[in-house]
Amino acid sequence: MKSGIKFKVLVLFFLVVLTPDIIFAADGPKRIVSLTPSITESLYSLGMGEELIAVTSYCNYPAEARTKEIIGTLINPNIEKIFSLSPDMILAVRGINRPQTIDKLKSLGLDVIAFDKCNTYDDIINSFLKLGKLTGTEQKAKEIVNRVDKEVRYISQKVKALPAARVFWEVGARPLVTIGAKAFANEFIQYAGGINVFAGTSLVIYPRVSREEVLKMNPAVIILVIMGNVTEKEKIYWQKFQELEAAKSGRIYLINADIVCRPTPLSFLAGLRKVAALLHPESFQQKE
Amino acid sequence: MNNKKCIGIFSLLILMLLASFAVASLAGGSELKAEKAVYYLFHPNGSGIERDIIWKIRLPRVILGMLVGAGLACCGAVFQGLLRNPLAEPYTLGVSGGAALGVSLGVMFGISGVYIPVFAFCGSALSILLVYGIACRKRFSNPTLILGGVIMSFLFSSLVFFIFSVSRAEDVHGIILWLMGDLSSTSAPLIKIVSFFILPAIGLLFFFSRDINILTLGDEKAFHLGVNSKQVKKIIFIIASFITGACVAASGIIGFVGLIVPHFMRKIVGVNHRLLLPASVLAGAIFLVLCDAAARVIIRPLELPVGVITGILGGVFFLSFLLKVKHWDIF
Repeated sequence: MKSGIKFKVLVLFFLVVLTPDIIFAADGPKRIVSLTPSITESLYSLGMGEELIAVTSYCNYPAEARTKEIIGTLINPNIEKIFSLSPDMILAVRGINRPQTIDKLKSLGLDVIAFDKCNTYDDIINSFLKLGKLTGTEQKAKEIVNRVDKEVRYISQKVKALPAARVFWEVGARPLVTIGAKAFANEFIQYAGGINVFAGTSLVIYPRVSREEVLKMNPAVIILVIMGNVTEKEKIYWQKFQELEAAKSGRIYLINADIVCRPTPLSFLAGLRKVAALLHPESFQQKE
Repeated sequence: MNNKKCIGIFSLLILMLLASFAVASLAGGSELKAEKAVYYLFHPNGSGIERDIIWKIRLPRVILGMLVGAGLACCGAVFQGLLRNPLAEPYTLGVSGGAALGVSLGVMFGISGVYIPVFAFCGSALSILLVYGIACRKRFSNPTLILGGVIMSFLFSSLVFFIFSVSRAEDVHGIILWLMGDLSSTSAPLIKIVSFFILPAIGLLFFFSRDINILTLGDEKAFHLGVNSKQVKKIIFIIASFITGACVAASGIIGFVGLIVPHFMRKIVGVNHRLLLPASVLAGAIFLVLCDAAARVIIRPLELPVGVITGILGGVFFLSFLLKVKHWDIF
């Protein structure tokens, strides 16, 4: 009889002591290391900033990310440092992080999750939802995606009736590099009511083009993604061609690479707003 | 050089190798206390993160650094002697170009990281066979070997650039990173395979050191001294190239080690390859391991590519040495 009570007390004790642990353990990772800026940003927007313990030296957004421990650069992470932090989840992106890095971390018995690189808006959304699922923040991820998706639809609906602007999107000056149909920035142009003049000409994601071809395509808008001092010079260069429609109407714009090169839902929306305001200033004046 | 001095130099080199092993195992990418590192170094059966840092991250890297440094320096000494050319180094005869092509093709076809060394090695083997074929048609003379190698290098690098221009940006990025040279992503199986290739091959080269000595006199004199220079050159070329190929496959293209270490050792132990080859092996291992340790700690937690350190440290060190020395004999 006495031992029966003892047993019950013991069971109760274990229930009380262990249950919260079990619940919390199932809740998601506690020590996350992010190996790319886009994952760092996504984790913060999912409210996982606390659980994120270390980032790369490239992770500059949001500003709080700067306070985290740094585990090296994007391309050359310090494996020993990562290991010494004993993370319970490492998040990487294939095609951005080196395969050797991912393999080595896995061989050390660490839990490495490698996402595929995002090339389209759908990729961005799917990766984000997957990240939400992995970190136990699925609900929040869905909320954000719904909000972003609604806004993206709203913008693309709004510009549908407007005449499409012919856009040349420059991401590199020497050599001259633009974006093809498969780059997610192409969707900025599409959803913002424009046409990428090189969307149909190449299967490569970031094709090289000649300056002659750009002149022949005669874009109405040129968007220069900022990549240092060169960009300002590029603007002056294109302005010299007075027959070029974009030069004639003065529609050569600079845009910050940080805004249009981050494959996360919220940054996609911010980038889209920016591009839409450039392509159709008359409809989006207040939005800016 | 007398025996006493010789023994002195080699014992010093071996001591330095042990010291560099110790330094490199204590200097790492994370702040691990030296006494802990020493403790786990002698207690491999322990458990915990610190033990794994030493045994799974630092030691594989140090050992690979030693193997690759030894291999490259030895091949450099051999090629300089064989081709009678002070500018010769392991990559002169097109091995690195072939490896680069192999890697580019591998990355372009989406081959996963583990198999990339295999592609690199196949690329090296291809370039070795081509250069061998070219040289064989022309009596294996030094000019044909060198020119054949340089031409193959150019051809391969043009093909690599062709692949760059038609492949995706992230693939190009991956190829360049691989080519930069890196010892950090090693694993135990890779080390086993590499040492299986490199160590016996280095032993074989030692075995040929007398022939290399004679070859440095020139093909004609070698012939009069009873060495079939064509035959011997072929064998040595193949062995040294495969060592280089294995090094490149394991760690990418790490420059400078194969060029300066043999020159430096030649100044210390002389031009006799029986001494020069073992001395270069030891010094190459020491040099690369120390450079890699420096690459890890200089801007910790960020890591520098080891090629940057070999280039800067080696260059400055070697330049000051070059200016100090009065006579500079190669042979």
